[in-house]
Amino acid sequence: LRKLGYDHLNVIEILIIYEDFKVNQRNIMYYLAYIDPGSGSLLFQALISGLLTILVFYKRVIAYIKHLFSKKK
Amino acid sequence: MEHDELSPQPYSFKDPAARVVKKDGIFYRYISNNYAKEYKHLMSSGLYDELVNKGLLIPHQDLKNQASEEIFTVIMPEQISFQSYPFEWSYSQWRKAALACLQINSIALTYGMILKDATPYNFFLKGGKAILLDTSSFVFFESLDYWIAYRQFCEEFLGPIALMHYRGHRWGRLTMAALRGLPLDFISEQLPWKSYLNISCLLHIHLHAKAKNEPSKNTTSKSDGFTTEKLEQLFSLLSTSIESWDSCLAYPNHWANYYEQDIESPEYLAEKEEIIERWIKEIKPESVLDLGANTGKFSEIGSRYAKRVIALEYDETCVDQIELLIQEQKIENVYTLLGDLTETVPSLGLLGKEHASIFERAKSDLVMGLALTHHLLIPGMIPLELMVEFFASLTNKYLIVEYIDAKDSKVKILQKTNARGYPKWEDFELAFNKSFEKLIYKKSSNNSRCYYLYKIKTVGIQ
Repeated sequence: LRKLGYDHLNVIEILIIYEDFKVNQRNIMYYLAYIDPGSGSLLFQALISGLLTILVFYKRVIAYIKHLFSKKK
Repeated sequence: MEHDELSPQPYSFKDPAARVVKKDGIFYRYISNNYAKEYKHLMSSGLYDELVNKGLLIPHQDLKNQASEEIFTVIMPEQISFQSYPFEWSYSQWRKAALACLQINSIALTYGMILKDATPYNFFLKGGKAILLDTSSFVFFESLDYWIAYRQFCEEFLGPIALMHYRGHRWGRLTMAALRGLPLDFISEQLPWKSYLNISCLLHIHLHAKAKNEPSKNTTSKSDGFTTEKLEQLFSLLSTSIESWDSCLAYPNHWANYYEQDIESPEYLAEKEEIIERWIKEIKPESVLDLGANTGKFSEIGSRYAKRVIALEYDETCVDQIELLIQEQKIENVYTLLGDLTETVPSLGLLGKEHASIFERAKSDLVMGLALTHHLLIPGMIPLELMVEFFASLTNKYLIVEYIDAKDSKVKILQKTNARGYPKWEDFELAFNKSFEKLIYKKSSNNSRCYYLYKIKTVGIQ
């Protein structure tokens, strides 16, 4: 994962974050923000971020394979 | 009226970073000192230039000499000659605004910025494109920050678009009852079960709706947000979903049938075009309001001579056809909106001053009501006298109106479902003469219809 430049989240972490999302509602203060982003929405984004990990990882793998393939050529 | 520069206005009170102020009929944006860093980055990084070149952001002029202790700078944006509100947009106009919002966010991300809000009220439509008018909406984005406007995007953009896509375009108009967006749990309830099969609906509406937004302990942790790469993916996934929803649920209606039968003779149309164009050329109006614009033929004629044309139409399909015409022919001065003349949009929002009524926004030098009066009189059930008052309240000077008599085939079709008395030609003239002065009258040589060019009488109805 690290070789692919990825070191943030993995699938297990998604589950941890989801648990965290369910039990721990937090409010994050942003300067200059005037709309209420919603504490639940912020935590929900952590879940989305986790899901995107898979997508970004998949895209990187594909890019890496394509890169190897083009090198061999 | 004098304004304290940074004091809140009923039309600009939410954002502490800047205020919109109207002075001598011109809108300015006062940028406060606490937004200086962001504003400087927007302007110097190349983000502003890229967005303006792509037609995504309103251009402005920086009036640095007006800066003061509290005010970092004053900007004078390009003045918008007409703004339609989201609840007056067709489905395709909604999609344009949502896609523009996502595109702006994607571009801003490459410059280390993001939009701090995501509301369709920050956009206006011009030349078939949605343009951001809130220059002070950009804030810095650092890796692992949250997308601060995520919930707002889901409530004010994605939700209404999903509702229109799955449940019909009327949801667009219904957002008038929720000016700050529909709650996600409400949207989720209204969507059909098949929307759960769509990944964007499932994640950003149904599951998101389960996230409780409760005030709780303050923490400043931001480690659970998005990397730039992930957020780009999120914007792209949302764009793909909105692009794939290329149509909204259509209900069968009798109007569709009416339009199918509405094949007028080419001679009648050619003559009508020739008469209207000649009259517009003569009176040289600065602004035109085309009521019941249909496919926009006469709005397009008006756009050749006037600075601004507003094409108001009841039918969603027609609005989209006009939008297409504007885009294809690169017409910059025609503004299209959906509207029901029997249910005109009132002043709305804070103190009734946040969003102006259609009468304030659309009043024009020339009002055109072509092939319209029978719709107002029969299904609209508007009495003749009130119809005259309605026209008079929308025009500054002139009115072009087409009289369609009781023998006309279209009147007969409409009377089948609403058997009402229909005014004779003499009654029609008499009613209009009370508020208007007849300048020219012309009878169609192809049928019994006739055209009037009226000028409003200065005393009487404003």
